[in-house]
Amino acid sequence: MDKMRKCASVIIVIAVSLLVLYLAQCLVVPKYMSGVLEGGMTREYYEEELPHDVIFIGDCEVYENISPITLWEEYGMASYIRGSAQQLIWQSYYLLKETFRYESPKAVVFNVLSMKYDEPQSEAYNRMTFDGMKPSYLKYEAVKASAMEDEDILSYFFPILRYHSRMAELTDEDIRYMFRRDRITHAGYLMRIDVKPMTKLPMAPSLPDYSFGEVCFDYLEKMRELCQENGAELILIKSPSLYPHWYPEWDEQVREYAEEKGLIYINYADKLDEAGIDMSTDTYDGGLHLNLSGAEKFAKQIGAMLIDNCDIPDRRGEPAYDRCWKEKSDFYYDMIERQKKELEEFGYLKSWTLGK
Amino acid sequence: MLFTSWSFIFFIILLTCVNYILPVRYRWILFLISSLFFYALSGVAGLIYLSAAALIIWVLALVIEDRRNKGRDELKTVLADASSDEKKAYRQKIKKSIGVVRFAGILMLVALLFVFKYSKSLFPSLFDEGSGDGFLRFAVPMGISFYTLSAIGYLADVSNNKYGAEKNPLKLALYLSFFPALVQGPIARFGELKDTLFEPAPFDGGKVMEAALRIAWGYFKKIIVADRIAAAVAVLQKDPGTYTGMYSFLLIVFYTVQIYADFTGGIDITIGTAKALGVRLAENFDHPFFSRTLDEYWRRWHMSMGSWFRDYVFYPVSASKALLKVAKASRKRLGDGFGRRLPVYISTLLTWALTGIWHGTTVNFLVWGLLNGIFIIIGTEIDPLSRKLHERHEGLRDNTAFRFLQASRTVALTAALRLFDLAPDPMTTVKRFISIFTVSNAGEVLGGGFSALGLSVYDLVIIAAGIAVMFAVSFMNRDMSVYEKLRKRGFIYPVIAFALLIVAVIIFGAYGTGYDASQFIYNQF
Repeated sequence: MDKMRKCASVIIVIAVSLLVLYLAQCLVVPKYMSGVLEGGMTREYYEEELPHDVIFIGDCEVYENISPITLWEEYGMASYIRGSAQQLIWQSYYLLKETFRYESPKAVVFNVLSMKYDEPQSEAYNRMTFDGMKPSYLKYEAVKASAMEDEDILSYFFPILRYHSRMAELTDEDIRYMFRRDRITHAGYLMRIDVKPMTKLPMAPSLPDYSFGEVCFDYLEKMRELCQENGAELILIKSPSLYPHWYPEWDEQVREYAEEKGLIYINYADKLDEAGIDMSTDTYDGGLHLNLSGAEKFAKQIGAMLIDNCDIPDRRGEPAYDRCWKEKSDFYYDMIERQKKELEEFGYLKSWTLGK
Repeated sequence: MLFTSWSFIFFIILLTCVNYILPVRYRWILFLISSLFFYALSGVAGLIYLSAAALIIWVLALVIEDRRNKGRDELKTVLADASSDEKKAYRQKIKKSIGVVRFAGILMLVALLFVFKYSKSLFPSLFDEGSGDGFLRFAVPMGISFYTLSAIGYLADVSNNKYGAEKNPLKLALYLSFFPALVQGPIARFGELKDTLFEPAPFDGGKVMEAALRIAWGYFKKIIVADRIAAAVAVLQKDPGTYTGMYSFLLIVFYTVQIYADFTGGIDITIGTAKALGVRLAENFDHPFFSRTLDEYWRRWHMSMGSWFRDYVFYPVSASKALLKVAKASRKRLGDGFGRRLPVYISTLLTWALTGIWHGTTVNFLVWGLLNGIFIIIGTEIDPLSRKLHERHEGLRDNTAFRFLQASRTVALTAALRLFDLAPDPMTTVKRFISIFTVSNAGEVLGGGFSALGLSVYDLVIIAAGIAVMFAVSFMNRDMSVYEKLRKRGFIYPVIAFALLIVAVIIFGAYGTGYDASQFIYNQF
């Protein structure tokens, strides 16, 4: 009996300690609810109710440039963007692998810009990609592949080990969102309605070597095999952002790979006119990313391509999908109104940016 | 493998589990393998040096023992009927022969320490540090200062017949390389350590809990206090020209807190780790900041180092022929008072000079050592005055305010002397110290100086709270260990204390990205 009591009291102490640590962790982890929103995108995928027929995967050139709501409204296409800031190709691979655990999309569209990075770039971007990823062995592999030299992998699973120092800089937002988060994306699309025209295209600096790293092709091949194993069509695209520069030498390497493997590869940066994208009205940051207007135009263009090349069903008329996408659309149009209001009031999107 | 790394924590948890699965007689082998593994992680070259040094020391100790035994046997057999003068001469011969071997061993150890630790500072041009000028290139083997002292102590003790030479070279290698004590001490004596090291205590849940609590307490001091203050100390230390006046005062205070939390924290982790494995390491601190005098302070701070220098430098030097001659001459010329004390003072200064040199390769450390010696001598010289004062005011010795005053004076003195740790040369140290009284910049420091040092209000609150907890625990620890006190209250109290420490370290510790995973300060010595 005495032993039982001792065991029970130890268990209670451990449980209380873990609870305290959990609460502290909830308090200190970045909430990504304003300013830098990109860190909150990975997490939102797990809240999706219904499976998707198309998965877009890649960096800001997908989550800023394609509107899944437009794809739904125009083609009845159920799609989702699994993207995050500067998402490296191996991060895309692991996120895609995880996606196949949850659903079986018919097409996977991968934006190839991240082929230019063959090594981890920065802790901040790693965190934004993985903070919201559910713990699993896949996450471990993804973090291991991405972590900078001085990073502690364990802290991706127990974020308090990384963010405990935020105790000194807590804000109201940390308290407000301790146990909940607001939705920030529209099926992975991060909306911006403001306009900053592209005035001139910066000169493309010449590079000492235009070859993509071997590791990038390895992961591209792994993605292809993964899609093949799961019965999904892999389509490679270069999104219609005009810079960072997409060199002809890079384009050629991807084109050769796609031809060799029998994949579709389309460089949409060369097809702006076809989509009707005008960089004086359809970008919010001078040509790097599209704004809402540009994202809707590009969605129409890429949607047509997907309909032509893949057997993507029109889900309109299916009650569950109609209800689900109606909710998404309502949120979409509500956010457009809120962004318009902020633009009128402040002259810039105060809640969606770090400042002017 | 840093003591503050996850790999170390997993390493000791795994080792503790495996340790108690093995039969007691095989555990020392596990300790040896894990120590060598731990050592190899810092460089295989160092491991080769350590192994070679251990092997040579093992051989020399056996030679010493063999000569002593043979001498004893000869006295009982061949020289049984010899005259007492003949026997005396023979004993002298054996003693001399043992002394030669011991001297050779010590000389080798000191020479290697000199080559590895000091040659780079003394002859920088010989070393190729990427410039391509020099031709030598090697890293200082981890813990060389500590195991050099342990090895010298072992040789000296064997030659003085305090205990027999270890027959098993692997056991001797374990004694010299036992990983918890390798990087920053305590400098364990072979005679004290061998029993539990080679036959560790069987599993005892209470002892393991005590060990875990001790380790957690070490992490509390190191990660919450020492590492949080470390960045500010580094900023102040780096720029003695800018950070003068009140900043110099802050440097003294901060560094005192840092080195106390860092070193005692590290020793807590060391002793706790050994205890978790069933090995008993001697304590290295005994509430040093409650000391009334500098002499007492050095008997309570880094006790294993102090006692080593006392036993293997101070006593042998004091008893050396040369100093006995000096003693005779000084008593004759200076009388029975100062003349009798003079040789002791010479030994004191020599011991402290060596203590300083052992700590570091710059002149600063030599000056630091000599100043400690000088202040201890001054303390001895004014002791009669102090005694008179106490005779006149009988209750003074036990007066709390007076004790506090004495302890404060000792802390202030040791803290000021530590400034020598933090400057490239003695002149910079002296200028920095003088600036406390000549440069008036308190307003600047209080009006934003802390944030310039990288310390926010949050940091200061955490540091202050950490110091308060350290002081409270130290105070409670005076008559009985806090663990014992908690254990007496009930089984669950140590568990609660352990959980609180771990939670506090995780939430309030200065670790991870953005913090320098700083080594323990004493690792460098």
